[in-house]
Amino acid sequence: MTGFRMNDGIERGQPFHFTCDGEEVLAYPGESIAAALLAHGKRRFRTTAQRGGGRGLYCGMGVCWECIMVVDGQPSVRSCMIPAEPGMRVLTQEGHGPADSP
Amino acid sequence: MQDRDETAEITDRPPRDVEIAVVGAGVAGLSAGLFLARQGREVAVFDRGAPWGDASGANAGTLSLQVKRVEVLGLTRFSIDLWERFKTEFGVDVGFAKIGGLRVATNEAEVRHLREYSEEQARHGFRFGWLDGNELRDLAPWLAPGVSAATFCDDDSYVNPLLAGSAIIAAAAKAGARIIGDAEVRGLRHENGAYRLDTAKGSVRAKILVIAAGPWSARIARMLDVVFPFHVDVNMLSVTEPAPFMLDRIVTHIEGILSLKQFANGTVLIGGGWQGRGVFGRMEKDTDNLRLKQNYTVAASILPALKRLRIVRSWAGYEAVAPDALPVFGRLPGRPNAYIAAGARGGMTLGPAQGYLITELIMNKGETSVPIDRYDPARLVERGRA
Repeated sequence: MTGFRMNDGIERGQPFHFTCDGEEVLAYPGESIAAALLAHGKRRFRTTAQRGGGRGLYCGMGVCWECIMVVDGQPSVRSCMIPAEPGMRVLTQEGHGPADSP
Repeated sequence: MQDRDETAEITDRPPRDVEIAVVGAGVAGLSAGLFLARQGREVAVFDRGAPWGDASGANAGTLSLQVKRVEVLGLTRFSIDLWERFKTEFGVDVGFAKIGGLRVATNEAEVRHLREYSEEQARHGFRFGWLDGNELRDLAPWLAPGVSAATFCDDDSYVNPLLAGSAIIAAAAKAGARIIGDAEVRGLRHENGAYRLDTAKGSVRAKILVIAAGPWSARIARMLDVVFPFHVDVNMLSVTEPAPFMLDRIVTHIEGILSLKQFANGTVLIGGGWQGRGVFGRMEKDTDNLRLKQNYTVAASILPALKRLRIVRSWAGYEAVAPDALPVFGRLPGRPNAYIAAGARGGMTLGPAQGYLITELIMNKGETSVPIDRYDPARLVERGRA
């Protein structure tokens, strides 16, 4: 699946990169992690703890907690609420995150 | 403000005549609808808003036997059994889990209170285990060191109120009950041997009336000049982010200031009857941040692992309570063929039993499966209008 950004009539700052599951992701200043990942084409941000189902961006405003990811080692970060920063290391969250993994 | 009914789409017109009208599509009313319909009775359940839309959906879903006063222990056990049978008998998943519960005490006075409470329960035939020292640590290593004793009850269970709602609505409808939402009862009178309900969706005539409207029950009964002195609490609940599984029991507190449980998805529900803001008569309710903070402080003092977790949501729900905090449950005094099931402290726990036993009363089978004389609404009726 692919993502895209609207470009017409929009001025942005200097782009930068962070990584998601080791892959380089382009972001512009002010974009949330979730927005940059959507533009990158990512849909599955985490898997559920009980059945391993895929979850992604849902409410987009910090309420539903569906888009939580591991950010710089910290599990359960709402990716829709945190601005992307250069060099951030983001991981798809499996279940409750690293403490939950074997 | 625009009147809601002018814009609401009428999706289900009520029948003009029905044998039994139940007012209130919460846990008690829908259970009555379900059990009556299964007995082949013609029943319609009315709700002022969305079925399962108020207290039944806003409560913690805790079904604890050991927190109950001796007057309701038998009724509670009966009702927890009914909750457990929803899956096997009706094929509906209400999220029932019988994981057992601990009722904790943290200082000498509380330990004394807990012992007295459990000794009185034992005198009435309900013996719960006593745990302290290493036994308590072994069973519940997650408890704070400050917890000095607990009683343990195997039967303590929980349901998921969100799952239970759609499940019981579906079961009642499948059994043949009609469930009619957005049908507030605005007028009610007894005439020519029947009850006439003027609802927001039209007028209905019913031979038999069941009032199961939670905090609104007093308002409905008053339309028939029966006045009950209910007090309405505004209980708060909170839920945390999902976390790795740590809490494998229901936790309650001897002084009633805490309830904790962790659902299978990892979220922890924090309650304890802390009061939000709001006035029932004005249809207002909201959370109170200061009291929520006190609630969390108590919770973390019992379960320290909570300190790492963030609260995702808090909310408040109404609970109508009689002056003696016992159910108001049985025949409506002075009115023929009318029944009420309300005012039960812990109405979620007792709802299925209330629906079942009201059905037995209506079926006129003589003795009910559980004696209900002590819940007789007549004990509370104030003569004349308040």
